[in-house]
Amino acid sequence: MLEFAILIISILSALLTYEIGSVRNKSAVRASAISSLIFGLPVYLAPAAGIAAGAFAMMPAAAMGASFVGMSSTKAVPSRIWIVVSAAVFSGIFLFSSPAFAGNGGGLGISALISVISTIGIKKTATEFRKILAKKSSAH
Amino acid sequence: MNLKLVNAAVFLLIAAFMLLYYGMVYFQMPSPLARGIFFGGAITLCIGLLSQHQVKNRKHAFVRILGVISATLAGGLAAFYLSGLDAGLGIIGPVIAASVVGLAGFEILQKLGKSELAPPMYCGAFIGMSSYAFFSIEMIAAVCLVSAAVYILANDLYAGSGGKLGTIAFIGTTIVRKLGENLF
Repeated sequence: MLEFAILIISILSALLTYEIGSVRNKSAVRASAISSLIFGLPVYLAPAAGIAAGAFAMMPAAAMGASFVGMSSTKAVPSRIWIVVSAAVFSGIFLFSSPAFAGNGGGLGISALISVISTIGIKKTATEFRKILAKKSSAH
Repeated sequence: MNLKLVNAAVFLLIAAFMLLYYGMVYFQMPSPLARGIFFGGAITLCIGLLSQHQVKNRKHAFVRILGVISATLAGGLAAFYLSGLDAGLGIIGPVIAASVVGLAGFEILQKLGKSELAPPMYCGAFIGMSSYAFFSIEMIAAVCLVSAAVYILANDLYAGSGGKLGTIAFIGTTIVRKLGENLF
């Protein structure tokens, strides 16, 4: 359940940042800060409203990390679908990241860069695969 | 200075940290299936890294070195101070601190007409997300200097890939934390 919630929050946050920052061409820094505030503030304010954040205390960090994924330029990650893939990869890395690095600033950022670079790798592999398939079908 | 060599070295530094961080994920994998997915991810990560590697004899874009260092320091110290601040609702926490510093800093820098300094300032805000359990304010200042140096040298490597700033912050925090553990 928690894993699913983190996946959904990551995808939403990355898409929001990508939309404001890269597609609408407002600065990526501003977009990332806005989307992490949007997803972070409710969890932060929850205890004041008498709701225990509990397991959802991880949400703001997940949203912020995913917003870094969304900071990618349209040149590096050309479409929203790849942002969704990248955010899904990010949520996997976020859930299983090593406790050895806990407390180091930038852990979220490196998880985001790993997921963006992996997604570029997946995209490259997919295009090569499609080329090979096209060659095969034209040979017949 | 041989720019090609510098570019290659910084590219490899960032790639090495990424592979280290990703490698450590392996030990958290709960099942054989997850480990299989891990290795699939490692292959795509390597393909992605290879496609990024374009070390040309580029001219480094002109960056104000002093501006980058002061923006990183300001962002880092402000976020670190803010994240430990006891607000009425409890400790503010790193995420809120970093995003508030990012947003406020961006608006201020834009007013000053120096919006090209917003990325290093946001990179500093990530450094300020470090835990009080492992870092003191002096260590954060040291991290900011290391990260500012990496930021200047990295220039347009990994340009446009989200998470580059956070990775630069991570390189600084890991180096300074390791040094701090061994020196003091």
